[in-house]
Amino acid sequence: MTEPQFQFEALVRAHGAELYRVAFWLCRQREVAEDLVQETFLRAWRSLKDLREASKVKAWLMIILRREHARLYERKQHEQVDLADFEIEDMNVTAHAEQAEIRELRAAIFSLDAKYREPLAMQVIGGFSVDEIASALGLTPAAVMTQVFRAREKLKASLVGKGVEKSA
Amino acid sequence: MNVFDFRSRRALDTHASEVVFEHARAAGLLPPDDGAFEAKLRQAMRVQVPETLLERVLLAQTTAQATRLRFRVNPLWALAASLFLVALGGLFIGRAPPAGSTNLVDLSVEHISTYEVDAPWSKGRIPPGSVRAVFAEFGLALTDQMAPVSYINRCPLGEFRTIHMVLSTADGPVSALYVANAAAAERVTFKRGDYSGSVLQFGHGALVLLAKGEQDLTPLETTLKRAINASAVAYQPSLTSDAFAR
Repeated sequence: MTEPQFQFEALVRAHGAELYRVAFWLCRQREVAEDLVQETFLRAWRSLKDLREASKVKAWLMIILRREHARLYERKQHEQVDLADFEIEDMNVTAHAEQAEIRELRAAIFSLDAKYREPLAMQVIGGFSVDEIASALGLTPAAVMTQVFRAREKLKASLVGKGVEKSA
Repeated sequence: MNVFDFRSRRALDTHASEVVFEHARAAGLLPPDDGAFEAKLRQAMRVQVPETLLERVLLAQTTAQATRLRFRVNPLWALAASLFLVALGGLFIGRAPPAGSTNLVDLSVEHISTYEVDAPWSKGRIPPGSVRAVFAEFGLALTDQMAPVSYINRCPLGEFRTIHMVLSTADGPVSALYVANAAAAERVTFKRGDYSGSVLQFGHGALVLLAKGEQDLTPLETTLKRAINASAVAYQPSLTSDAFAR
C-alpha cells in the first residue's frame, strides 16, 4: 500500500463515522448520508496532496461534506427516514424509558430547522469550536453561539410535557 | 468562574466542556439537569453508522484510482488520437453500429477482471435502501426481494453508465451490470476465460451477469426481472451525468 493510500485509509477510519453522523443530520436520510460520505472522501482523496495541516483535517472534511451536500442533494427531495428504525447506539442506554426519551429527542432534532441542526451537529458530534463552525458556515461566532443556544432551547421546549426534561 | 465565563467557555471550547461543566456545577451555575440533557443530546445525535460504510468508501476509492490510472495518457498522444478519431469519424459518420452484446461482454469482463477485482469478495450486505437509491438514479424501481447485494457502485463501462452490483448466491458471488441505454440481443450466453455469463435486454438498457466458473444464471435472471421494474422510467442522463463527471 502506498503512503497516500495508507494516509487515506487512516483518514476514513478515523473520521468516517463522525462524518456520517453529521451528514445524516444534514440531510436526514441514511442512504443519502452514505453517498455523501463516500463522495466527500473521494473528493478528499483527489485533493489529499493539498492538505497542508494535519490538525485541520476534520474541518477540511466538513467543508467538503457541506459543499457536496449543497452541490448534489440540497435541492432534491428525499424520502424521509423513519426514526423508529434507528437503534440507539449507546452503550449505557438500556432502560426502555430512557430509550423512549432519546427517541423523542431525536425526533425533535429531526424537525429543527437546518440553520439550528447543522451547527448543533457540528458542535455535538464533531466537537468543533464556535470559531471553527463559524468559519465553516460563513457566519460570525456570535451568530453561531446564538444558533446553538436557540437549538438547545427549542429542543428543551419541544420536550416539555413529554417527560424527557423532567426525568433528565 | 462567573456565569459569563461559563457561558463563553461552554460555547467556545467544546472539548473542555466536561471540565467546564464540573466547575460550573460545583459553583452552582448550572441547573441540576443540564448535564443530563447534554448527555442525552449526545446520545440522540449518535445515530448508528452502517457497518459496511467504511469498506464501501475504501472500495470506491480503490476503483476510482484504478480507473484513473488506466486512463492516464500522454496529452500529446491524446491530442493525436483525438485528431485521428475526428478524421475517421468524418469518413464513417452515420455508419457507427450500436454496441452489440459481444462488445458489452468484452467491456464487462475487462471491468470485472481489471478494475474491480476485489468487488466479488466484498463482505456484508448493502442496505436495500442504498440499492434502491442507486437504482432510482437510473430510472429503475426495486419492487421485490432479490439476492443479497454485497457491493454496488456506479461505474463507467466504455461510453456507458452502469450499475455494478455483486449478488451473493448459494453458488458464489455473481456480478451484475445494468448498462444504461445499451442495446443487446434478447439473450446471449457466453464464456470468456474463467468467466461465464449472460447478456439480456433489460428495460432501457442491458443486463450482464458474470460468474466465475460454470453457473446456471437463469434463476437469478428470473429473480432480477421480477425484482426490478426496468420499464417504469427511462434513464435520464441529466440525473447521473454529474455523478460520473466527478
